[in-house]
Amino acid sequence: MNILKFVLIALLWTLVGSYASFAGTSDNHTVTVTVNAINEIAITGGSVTLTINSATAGVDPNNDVDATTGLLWTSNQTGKKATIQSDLAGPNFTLKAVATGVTGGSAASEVTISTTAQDFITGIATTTGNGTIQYTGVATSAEGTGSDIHTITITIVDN
Amino acid sequence: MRFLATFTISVAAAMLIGNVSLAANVSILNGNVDLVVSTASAGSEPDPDIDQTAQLQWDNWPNSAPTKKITVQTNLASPQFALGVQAINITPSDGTSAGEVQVSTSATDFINSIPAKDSPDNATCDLRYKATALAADGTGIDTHTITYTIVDQ
Repeated sequence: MNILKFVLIALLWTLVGSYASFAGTSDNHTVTVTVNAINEIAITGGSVTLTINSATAGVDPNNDVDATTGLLWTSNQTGKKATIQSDLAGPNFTLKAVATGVTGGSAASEVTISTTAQDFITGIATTTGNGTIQYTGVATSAEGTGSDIHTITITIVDN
Repeated sequence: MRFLATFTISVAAAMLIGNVSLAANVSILNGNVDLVVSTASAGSEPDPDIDQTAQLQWDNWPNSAPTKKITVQTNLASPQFALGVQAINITPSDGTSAGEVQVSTSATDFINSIPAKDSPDNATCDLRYKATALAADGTGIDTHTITYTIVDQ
């Protein structure tokens, strides 16, 4: 009888213990975080007007320089660069551009803007960045007078 | 006969204890969650993605039960991206949100001070998940198994 009593109490204890093990119940689900490729670039500061209207006697007209616009970019990919180009196929005058004060990449050398995309910012990789766009208008006396209107496009592309 | 009576009472007590323990429970409603980070303003870090489609439901009764809390944790040891979750819109008098917590493999307090009630009242809250990625984090996918556990506080 004592053995039976012991067995039953042990069984009872096990039963209590097994229930007690459920004291902290839980549930779970799956949460998936997907981060897609992001490559964004924006020009800030609006349109730019360059005016060449002075010269020193005996030399070509003075250049006009503008650094009022900026560039912002975000890329969460590696192996990227920003290129610059114009839509104006046969400009009368020379328009140059270079990026200054660049963070999140490296400024390429000053380029003479054409309809062919040229490197403007290199070494863009998983970063945010910014810089200033410095435009220089250049005209020789031989080019006369007139206006060139460019639509400038800056694009993030693969290296 | 006396032993049989004692045993019967003891089993009943054990079942009661069992029921008390089982009365603290937590469950997730509305299934799995997908967060997608895919936009940014140029010059800024990517925009976080927020999801608030899932809910949590819990009970803590009877009123003799201890005050409880709910913890949250993930099974993903080294996530590439930050994942936060916050209990919002908790039904009145059913606990206190710990605010937004970053999920990790360590159980972190999520809802505190869950009082015992006379009977099950299906306390609920909305689960507000927020995925945050930096540009430096790159692209990819983190798959978390998120576990909520109700325990004695």
